[in-house]
Amino acid sequence: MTNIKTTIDAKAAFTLSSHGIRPEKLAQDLGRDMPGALSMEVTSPRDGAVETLLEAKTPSGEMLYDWKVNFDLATKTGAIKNFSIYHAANKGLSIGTAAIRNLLRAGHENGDNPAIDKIKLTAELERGAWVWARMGWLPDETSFRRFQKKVQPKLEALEQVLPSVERLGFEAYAMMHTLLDHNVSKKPALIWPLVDSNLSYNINAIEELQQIVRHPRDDERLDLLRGYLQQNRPDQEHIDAAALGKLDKTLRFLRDLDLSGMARDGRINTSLLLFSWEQWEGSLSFDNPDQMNRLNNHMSRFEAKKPAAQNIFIPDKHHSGYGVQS
Amino acid sequence: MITKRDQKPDSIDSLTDVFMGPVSDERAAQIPFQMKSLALLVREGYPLYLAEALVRPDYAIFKTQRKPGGPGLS
Repeated sequence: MTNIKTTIDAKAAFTLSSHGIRPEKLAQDLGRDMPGALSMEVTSPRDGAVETLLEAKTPSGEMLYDWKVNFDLATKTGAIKNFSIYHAANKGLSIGTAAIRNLLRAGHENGDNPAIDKIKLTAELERGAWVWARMGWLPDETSFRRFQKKVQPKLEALEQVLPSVERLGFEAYAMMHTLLDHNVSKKPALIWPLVDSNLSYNINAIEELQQIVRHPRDDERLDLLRGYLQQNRPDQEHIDAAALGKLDKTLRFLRDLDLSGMARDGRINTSLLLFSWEQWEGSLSFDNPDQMNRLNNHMSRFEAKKPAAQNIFIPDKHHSGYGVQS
Repeated sequence: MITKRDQKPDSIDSLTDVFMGPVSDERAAQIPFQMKSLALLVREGYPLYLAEALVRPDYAIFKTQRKPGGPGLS
C-alpha cells in the first residue's frame, strides 16, 4: 500500500460515500506506484463534484509534481486540471502512464457502475497537444477547428521558407495541409494521422530559421529573412514586404522552442514541431473502442518493461481484447 | 500482421476492405497506429497515395493507384 498523507473534507467524504466510493481507496488508487513523498487533498467544490490534488515532494520538501483531477460524479466525467508531468520529466521521473492508469483504475472502482466514463482535459504547453492525441484523447469539434486554424499557417510558413531539399514531398505536404484545413477535415479523429506521421525536418534547417526569428530588431530580422529566402528559395525571391512581415510573424513560434529536446537522430517530427505550445480541449471516452485501443497500446508499450501488475486496468465489458496485457 | 495482407491490394476499395472488413479485436490491437491512421484516411475518402505519403513515408508495401481527387485535393 502506498503511503499517502490524505486530507478529506467532510463534504467530499459525504459526496464520495453517497456514490459508493471509499475516499481512502480513491486516494490509494490515484497514488499507486507514484514516486515521491505523497500527500493528497480531497475537497468538494460543489454538490456532486470532488476535487483531488496529489502532490509529490522530495524528502527535503522540494516539490516534484502535482496532479489535480476533478470528478463530476453526476455526469460521470473526470477532468485533468493540472498535471505537471513536464516538471517531473525534467527531474528524471516518468509518471505519465502510472498517473493515467491510476485515474482509470480509480474511476472504475465500482465495476459495473463506474464513477466516471470520460476524462476531459486541455492539451497544452510544449508537448501536450501532440502527446495527448497520441495517447488517445481527441479534441472537441470546435476546439479542433480552432487548433487547425492556428497550426495550418505554421506549416505553410515553414514550407514557404525552408530550402527545397528540406521541404516535405508534395504529396505529404498536401495531405498534412488538407488535414489542417478545417473546411475539409472536420472530424477530430483526423488529428491521429497527423500525430502518427513520421514526417520530419532536418534540425539544422529549423535551427537556422530559429536563429533568424530570434533576432531582436524587427528591421534587421526582416533583412535576415529576406537574405535567407534569396539564398535558399529563388522562387520566393520577390516576396513583397507585407508577405515577408506575415511570414516573420508566423515563424515566431520557433523562437522559444527547445529544438534539441525535440530532435531524434538529427530530425524533428513535423507534427510535434507544429503542435508545440498549441492547445486543444478534448476528452477520452471509455466507451470509444478506438480511443481505448490507442490508450491501451501506448500504456502497454510504455509499461512493457514493468511487472504485469502495473499494466492498465480497462473494464472487460467495453474493451475486451483491446490490447490489455495479462 | 493484417488479415488478407498477402493479397497486396492495389486499389483503394480493396485496401478499405482489408482494413474495414471483419478484423478481430485481438487482431486490431496488433495493427500499428500508422496502419490504423492510413485506414482512417482511406475510409474518410482521402486518396490513398496521399495518405500513404503522410503516415507511411518510410516504406510502402502496397502498390497504390494514383487517383487524383478526394476531399479538397482535386
